[in-house]
Amino acid sequence: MTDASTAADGQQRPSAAVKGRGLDRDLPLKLDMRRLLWRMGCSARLDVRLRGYLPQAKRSPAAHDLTDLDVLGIGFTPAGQIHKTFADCRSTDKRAIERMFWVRGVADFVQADEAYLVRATEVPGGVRSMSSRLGIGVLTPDDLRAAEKTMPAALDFGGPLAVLFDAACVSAHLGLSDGADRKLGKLIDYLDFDFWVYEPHRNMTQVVAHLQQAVSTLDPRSPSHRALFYDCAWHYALAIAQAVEYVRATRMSDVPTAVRIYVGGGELALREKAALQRMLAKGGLPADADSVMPPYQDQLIDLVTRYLVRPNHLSGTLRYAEYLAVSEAAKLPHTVGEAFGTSTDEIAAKLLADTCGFLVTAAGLRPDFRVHARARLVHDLTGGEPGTLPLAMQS
Amino acid sequence: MDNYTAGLRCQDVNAGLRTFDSASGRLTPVKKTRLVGMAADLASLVRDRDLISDMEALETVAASELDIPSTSFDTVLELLEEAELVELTRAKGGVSGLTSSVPYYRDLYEILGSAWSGRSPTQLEEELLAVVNHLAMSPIASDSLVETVGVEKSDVDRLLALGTDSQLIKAVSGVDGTILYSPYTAFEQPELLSDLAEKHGSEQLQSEFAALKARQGLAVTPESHPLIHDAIARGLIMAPSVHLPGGKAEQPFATLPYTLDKDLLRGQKPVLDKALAVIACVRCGEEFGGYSSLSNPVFAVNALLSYGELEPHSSSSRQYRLMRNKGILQFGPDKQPWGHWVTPQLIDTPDNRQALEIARDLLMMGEAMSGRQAEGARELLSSDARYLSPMKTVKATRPRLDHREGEYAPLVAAVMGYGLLHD
Repeated sequence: MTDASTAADGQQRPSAAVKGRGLDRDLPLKLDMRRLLWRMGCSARLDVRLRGYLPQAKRSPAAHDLTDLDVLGIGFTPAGQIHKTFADCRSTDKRAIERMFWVRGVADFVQADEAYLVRATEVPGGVRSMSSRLGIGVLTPDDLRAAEKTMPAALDFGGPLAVLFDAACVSAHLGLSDGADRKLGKLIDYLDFDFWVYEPHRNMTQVVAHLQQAVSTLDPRSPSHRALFYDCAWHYALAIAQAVEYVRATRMSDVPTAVRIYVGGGELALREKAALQRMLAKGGLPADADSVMPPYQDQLIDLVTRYLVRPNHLSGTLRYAEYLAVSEAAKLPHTVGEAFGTSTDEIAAKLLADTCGFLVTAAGLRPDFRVHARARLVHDLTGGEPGTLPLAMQS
Repeated sequence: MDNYTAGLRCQDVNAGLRTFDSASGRLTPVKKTRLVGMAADLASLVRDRDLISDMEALETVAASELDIPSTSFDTVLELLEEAELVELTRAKGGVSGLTSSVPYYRDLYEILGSAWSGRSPTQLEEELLAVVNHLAMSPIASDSLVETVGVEKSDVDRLLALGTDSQLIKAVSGVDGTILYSPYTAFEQPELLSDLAEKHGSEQLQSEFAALKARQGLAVTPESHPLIHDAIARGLIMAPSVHLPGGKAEQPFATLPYTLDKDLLRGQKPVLDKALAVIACVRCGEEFGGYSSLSNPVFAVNALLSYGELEPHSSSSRQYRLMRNKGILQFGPDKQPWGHWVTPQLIDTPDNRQALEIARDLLMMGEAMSGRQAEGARELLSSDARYLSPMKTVKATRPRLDHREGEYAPLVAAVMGYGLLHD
């Protein structure tokens, strides 16, 4: 983990900062934590990096790396509210007590509901005594094993899902950005950094915008590009879950209006945009009332509604996207139905297929991304032969 | 005709024709319209079903509940797939399952209307839809079809024969000719239409009914709408009345429901009566609100559906008395301890909610959308529908629409190769 105090110069290009991801010696601990989070019913992302932009900088975009999160677990309450878990994983117990305070601060910054300090060896006694006061769980390998035993999972982590906990496969996933086409740099940087520091409502349009920018580069025949696509779907599913929280809290009786307000950045921002549109139109520019919202707003409202009416399936949606991204990076072909067996949540698979379909349509990606997503998500759940791609994709 | 209207009326036409033997040759000229109508029904059926892997059950429910013949089922599915309303999974040469993308808010009818237009419907289909759409607005004299609706003179007889035989178009005859009306319109005694046309003229009949369709809950006076006022007096249409402010007389608010849900016009008539009472009360609030008026009657209906009550107002007891008398509302105490107004509170029953939803549809769209959502079939699809399979083998006992000799003979000649090669 890198915090601000140890960053090289604070203004380095983000792409330089991500070099060597997935190769660190803390990876086994992160994978143990991922497995525990999966047992808890969560989805987990490793090495989430945060940065802030510098307004006074001459170079653009200039940013300051703030810190990174070793493991960020995303779960959902039965009512569909997001539940975040942050874990700091290190193979040494160096400065563990100071680290406890740091963990508390980061957990507050990312509004985590739970935080863990995970260490490969026994920690100083003072750390455990601070644990309850600071609200931070302390997990050593013995604690992790004991915790896992208390959470039996219906899933078989030894089958195709083992890819999620295999160091080589996960390294391949985390290292995708290293060898990626430079034209995908903006999309990768956005997913790695900006998604986590933007105001949540902006991600509803930013994922699409970044995909649009990479349309000509993204190739559905490339497993690494498909992995990137599923990572986008994971991020977008989370962004929708945040939108759903907003809709549920503000205007359940009028979902379209609530979604428009959320995507527009609030009622006042929406009014400002409408006023701007009128001024542009007066000035002879081609701006009509529809240009206030993105052109895919109707489809987006529908997609949010699909999530809204299925609050018990959000967790599965993220977990399937996570599985697909890692398995694509590892070039393993199993469908969600094969990997999750009898525990497969058909509705969650369909929601993710809808999300992938929406991204393809809204961003103008090549349709085979959608075909591929259907093949791995719902093809065998709707009577198709598992492991066979539809004819269109085979050709 | 815009795409939304076309999609909506395709469903109307199919709803009218589906009670007849689907194998009847006389339905051939309207097959594209029927196909889109069936697609609207099937889309409504799968709207809330994310995945369907038992296509046999879907086909069975579609056949038994929506009258989609098994021979047309695959074609209807393909139409829905082309319109991006479903995505099909194909295996072993057939469709093994589907995922539904039927929108919640984007307009299903707009999409299906576009699909209908894209399939180049025949002239007869375009004319049939135009007539059905016109009848949804108002009755019309049969001899003005050419002039008013734009039907080709040569097609009138064929169109009327098909429409009236299939009961998609109803007709009443009088001294001055025949008046056509829609079976989906809730006329209490339709035979009175010809009397009205005779007395007021068929143009007045059309214009006043069109005004009523455009504004359900129309405040009617003998001066503003003489024909409608007369129709209310004779019992042709329904018009609940509400007391006006200042102790003035009661004001009738005329409503003419148009719905595919025939239960609503018969067995569930009390629900429809409640819906009309709701419309009368909120229209009264809009036009004769006393101290202040309702800015939009739909807001009041939405508030009752969402929050179960309305904010008290000095006119609440007068304005909503009819709804209270119908058992839709009760009057709660004023929210302020010192207040003396009443708080209208919804009596939360399924019937009352349905009545409010019907009232909202009528206020917003001019017609009730119930009956378009494949409601009964959706419940059936949620259950194990395989037991219905034997029903598919039951021979159709519905009336058969046979070709009339005059038009059948040239068809046979053309098929057999001995008819004229060029008209």
